[in-house]
Amino acid sequence: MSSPQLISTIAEEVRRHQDGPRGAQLDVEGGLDRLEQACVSRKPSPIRFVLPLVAAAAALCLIWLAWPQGSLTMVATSAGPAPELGKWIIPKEPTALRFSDGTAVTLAAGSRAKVTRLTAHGGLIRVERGQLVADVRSREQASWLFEAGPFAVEVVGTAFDLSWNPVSDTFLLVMREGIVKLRGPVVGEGRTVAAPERVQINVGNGVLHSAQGTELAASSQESAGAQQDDGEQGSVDSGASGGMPSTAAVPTVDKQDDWKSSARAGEHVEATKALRRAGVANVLGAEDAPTLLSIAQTARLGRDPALAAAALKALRRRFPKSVEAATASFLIGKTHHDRGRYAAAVTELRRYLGSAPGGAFAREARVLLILALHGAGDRASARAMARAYLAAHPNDAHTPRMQEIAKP
Amino acid sequence: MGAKPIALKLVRGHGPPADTPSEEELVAGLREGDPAARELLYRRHAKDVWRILQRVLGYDSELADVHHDVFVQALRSLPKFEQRSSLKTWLRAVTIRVARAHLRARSRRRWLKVMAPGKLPDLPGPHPERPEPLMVRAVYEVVDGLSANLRIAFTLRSFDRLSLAEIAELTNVSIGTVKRRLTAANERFFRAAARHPALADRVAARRLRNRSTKEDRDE
Repeated sequence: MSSPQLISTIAEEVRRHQDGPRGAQLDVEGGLDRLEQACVSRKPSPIRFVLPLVAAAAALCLIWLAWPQGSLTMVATSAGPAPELGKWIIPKEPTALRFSDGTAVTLAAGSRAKVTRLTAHGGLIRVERGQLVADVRSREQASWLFEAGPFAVEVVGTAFDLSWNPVSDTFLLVMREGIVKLRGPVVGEGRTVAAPERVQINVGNGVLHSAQGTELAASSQESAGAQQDDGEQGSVDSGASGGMPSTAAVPTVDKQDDWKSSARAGEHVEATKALRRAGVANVLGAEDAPTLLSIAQTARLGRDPALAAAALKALRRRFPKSVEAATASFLIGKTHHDRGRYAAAVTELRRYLGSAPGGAFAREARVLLILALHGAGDRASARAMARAYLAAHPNDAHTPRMQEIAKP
Repeated sequence: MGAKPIALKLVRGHGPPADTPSEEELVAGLREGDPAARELLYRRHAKDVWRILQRVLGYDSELADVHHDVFVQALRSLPKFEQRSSLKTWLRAVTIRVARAHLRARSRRRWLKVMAPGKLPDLPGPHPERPEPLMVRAVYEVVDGLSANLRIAFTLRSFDRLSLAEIAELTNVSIGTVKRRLTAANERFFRAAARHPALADRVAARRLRNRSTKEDRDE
């Protein structure tokens, strides 16, 4: 059926166009500069896997969709005018971007990212290097895609920190709220990651570390390797090294558990209803600590704060010494903070930091604690802590806010 | 093992030196992280990589990014380069891998376009105009309908005139597999081209010509 002559003619036209003056032109010098820039920090680091190495913080993104005919707009804040769509953003200092629906994104100094596309319901953000802190507002139909190196993170509405270090081939995703779907090397075509999970992947050696908290060591028996899909690049290490054993963010789907299926599909309202149908007392009295944490998260996203609080309280009551109980303190503290109950937030966040001072959410907890102290009127403590924070992290995504609080 | 720094001395913007380093020296320099070796690699192969990407991807507003990714990936995976093939072939294989990943990413992004059909169009990007002639655009619209494997085989063979053996090496499959992919790709391409408004006439005309040629031969 095919015709070699026709293909030959068509191919000739394709070549003539692509190789001619109207074809896409290669900028050799620009490309060389860019490559050199990418390789500058390629010198071997004396310390591998040091997270601060991922220093940068890239940020972004968006949201909106308030009006039927409206579209998302990007409004620059600290860096000046809104960056042009498709242009690389390389901030010299942490740069906060805000979007028309109130979504806030911060790009850390030295990062390189761009907003490639904006649509009515979401957008595409590409991170070439660095770290981003994204708070994507949860809205119906909201759909965002973040690409970092070879990884893609699909988002509906959530908050997370993401970083990609092309030098060490290290990807890091710290979920603060919600659920995302992660694709890429090692994790394959789709792994659900839910708050408060933290996933670190080294592409070079094909190792994935996952944890619910820093309290990781205690939950080493919770190997969740079964959640991993076939990777493109090597095997999955469930956490034999680095002190970060794997635990599952959302328990492996059990077909009999409606709520788990719904939660994994991102249908939090449905999942919450299913939990209620199953009987709150029964579920909270029977499930293990990681599952209780997932229930709390699902209920929060399913707009059932009472159930979320009940799950966290049950978790702390039934498993007081568990790693998840410490994480529960962090989540309760964050909830109090978000609702303006600063004094209660201070109590819970201090409790978390007391039980897990080097935990996976220690940095976030410190930031929230500073904000809560500030909100509660204890400016002196907030200022002192903010200064200490800036001394330890002079150039991360929280820098602008910390600088404000640290001012005399 | 060590590269000879003298052999790799380059001055930016002055073209290749008279004393061009051998491929072995270049690879050794790259392994040592010599910036001059990187520049030489880029200057030697950037156009080849660019051309292949254009053939496989067609018009793509992220072509420069993908091109950059090829070199970053290549430098990163250099320790795995065993020099069983030439640097050029190896780099082309990396190019195909990166192009395939990009095609996958591109297809993933389609969901963004279908979220609100006809209701809230995307904001214009930095490359609102597609500069290619209608025919070339039509060809790639048809090619977009092929799977990544078929597309790669088809474009490398038809547009870049690579041999079956070359395609097999770059895509890490047997020549037989390449042949099967090409047969399938050609058939699908023609079926889709016959339905495309900008290509249908050409396909019909070619069929007519083929038929009359066959009849002439039969007579």
